[in-house]
Amino acid sequence: MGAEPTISLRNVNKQFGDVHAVRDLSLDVHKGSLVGFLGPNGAGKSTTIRMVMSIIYPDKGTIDVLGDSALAAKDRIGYLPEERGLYRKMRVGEYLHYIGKLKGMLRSNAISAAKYWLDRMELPKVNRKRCEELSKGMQQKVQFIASILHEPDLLILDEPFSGLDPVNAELLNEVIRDLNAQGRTIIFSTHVLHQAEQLCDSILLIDQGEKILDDTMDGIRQTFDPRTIEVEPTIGNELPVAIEGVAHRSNQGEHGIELHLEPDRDPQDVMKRILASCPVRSIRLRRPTLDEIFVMLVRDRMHETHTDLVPGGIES
Amino acid sequence: MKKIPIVAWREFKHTALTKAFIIGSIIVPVLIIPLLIVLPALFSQDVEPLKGTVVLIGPDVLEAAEELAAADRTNSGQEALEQTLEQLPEGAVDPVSKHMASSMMGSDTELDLAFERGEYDALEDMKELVRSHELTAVVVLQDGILQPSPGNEANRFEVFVRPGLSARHLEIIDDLISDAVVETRVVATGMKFEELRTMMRAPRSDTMRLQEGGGEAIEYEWAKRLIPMAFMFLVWIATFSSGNYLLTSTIEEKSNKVMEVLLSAVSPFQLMAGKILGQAFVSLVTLVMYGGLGLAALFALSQADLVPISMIILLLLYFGMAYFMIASIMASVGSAVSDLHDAQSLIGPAMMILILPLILWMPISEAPNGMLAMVTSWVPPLIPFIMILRVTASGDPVPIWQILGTLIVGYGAVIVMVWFCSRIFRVGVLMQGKPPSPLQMIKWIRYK
Repeated sequence: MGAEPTISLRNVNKQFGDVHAVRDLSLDVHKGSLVGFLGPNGAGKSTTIRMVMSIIYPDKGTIDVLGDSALAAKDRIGYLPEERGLYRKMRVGEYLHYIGKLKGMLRSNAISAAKYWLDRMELPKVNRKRCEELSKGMQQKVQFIASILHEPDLLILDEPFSGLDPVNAELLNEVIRDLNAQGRTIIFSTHVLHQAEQLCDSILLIDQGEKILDDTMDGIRQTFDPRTIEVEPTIGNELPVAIEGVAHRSNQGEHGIELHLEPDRDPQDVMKRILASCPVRSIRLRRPTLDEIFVMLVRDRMHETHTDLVPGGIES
Repeated sequence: MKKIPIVAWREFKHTALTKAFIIGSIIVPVLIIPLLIVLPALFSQDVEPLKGTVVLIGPDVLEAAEELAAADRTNSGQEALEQTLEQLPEGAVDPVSKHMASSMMGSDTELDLAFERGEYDALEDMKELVRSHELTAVVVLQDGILQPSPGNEANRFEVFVRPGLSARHLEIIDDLISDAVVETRVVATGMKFEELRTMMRAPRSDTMRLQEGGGEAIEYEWAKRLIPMAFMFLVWIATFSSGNYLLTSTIEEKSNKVMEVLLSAVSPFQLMAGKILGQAFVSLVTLVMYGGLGLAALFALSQADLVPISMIILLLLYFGMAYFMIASIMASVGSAVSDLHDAQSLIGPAMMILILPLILWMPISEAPNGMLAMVTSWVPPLIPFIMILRVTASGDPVPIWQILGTLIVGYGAVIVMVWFCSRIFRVGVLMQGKPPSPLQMIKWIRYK
């Protein structure tokens, strides 16, 4: 990861009437990174992205994008908003050329780029079709092409996989990885956290307009200790005795019963107790998923108490 | 700023270069001209001739009725038209227009009526003959009808016609008998009816307006009324139609969710400016189209001097003012709502601006330099419409300081309105859900 930030926010605040959408937010997104930008509904993600896109402006604080002001960098950013659509009566090719020209491309370049990307996204014969004639998935791919047509240095994708079948989702996944491999910085916002977990190399989590997690995936894995043991008994679905150090158990998971440890309990010690209590087919110490970390962090902020895992390295 | 023309071109192309616009705004008006020529000819082919016998009972007007029928009484429509055309200035009527007018009026009914005297005792038998279509009508004249005097209730006649006789035919018979009675009365006094009719024809006036700086100009009464109305409606239609297109296209972009994609490439101000400019060209096409037709008609009537080039320049200047005022309001309203239904409640200010000139048109045309005209000329949203009425209606030219002053005030107001509306637009385009109140929209202006 390079040291040069592609996006740099410093003490950014944004208020709409009485609603404080973003509070004193500071963050850096480094060049070439693929960042998951997560948060519950109403957390301030869209407002932050809109400020980065210079669609709206902060009340306080500064935003630098690609070494320049957000406005000056507009043509070097590709943006696929969550609220997206197409001109229903416009032809696909015409729409892409229009967006390309608005992004500063010459018409000839926009035409050749549109042709290349329509082929790449497996939409070879839709150039002359009206947008309303396309299926939802095809429209989704056209919208994605519109966001990358001008070869942006920074790409912001808000729920890019919604409406795509698994085959097309895999195709899009591949393209996103390729673009990232070319050195483009990608910000990926989604509520489907396992997609972010698979795709991103770092995560930014905000809630109520404030940053509550900003780390690489490896850092997060190290920070959030594994605190769940998955055990599959040889006989039946239950352990014969209560195990000391287990706070509670949850329903049968993919790999057996999930046992959640009490704080400060040594997982190795608890695993030994389980193995001593009954024969098991498999036992493993499972890392927390991003979903679990997300729920835990957001819920903890709601209750202002930490009751389960003890995270480290969280900036508030 | 180079992005504004790109947005403007898309807006223009997807409004003006569509089948709906070409058919509605260009082809239909172009088709109206040949229709004006063809339709009267078609009407004249469809008129059923009035033939048959009319029996007259009561005082004798037979001779006069026969004379009038023989002289083809129905030519009076054309005669009336000719009299009207005579009121127009020299050279006003070219052969084409005269042909058009004549074909319209010349669609009068062919007349072949015979008249007979009848007796009152045989009235019931004659009614039966009328029912069986052997007679066209029976007319019963009151006994004292030929000796009219104030309060004479005998000044009436009854007409019995067959079932199904058209209203037009009935009107012809009525007029014919009325005229025959009048002619008989006149002849009975020893006067010649034709001479009397000639004497009764009202003289026409040629009005010359003496101008302030010397010289005189012919005053065309009809033009004084028609031209201001035509100019104002021209601007009204061009402004209203494009304002409407702007409203619907902005709402469409919001409801299609394409707005945020656009805002990732252009600023809200660039988007609004591009849309307004694009629709301005659409509006200009409408203006040139309809205005051109009007000018062509004036050329055909040899009346092109009624619309001097200075008037056209002022028309364009005030049109621009009117358009940008209405368009900026329409764009800001379109940005704030998600469907056309929600827009209705917010569109009031724009509609007020559009409706007021229609209300004020008459009094201002009557007194283009009166107090009402003078005051409303300086109220910014009304300036373009009122000034168009004044500069085209007034025989006395509107003082130049008023023209320059209203242009400065008006375009100053345009800049302020566009700025306010762009502030609303920039917030409105990102809003979803229930439409805002006018008060909320005003609050948006203050958002950073």
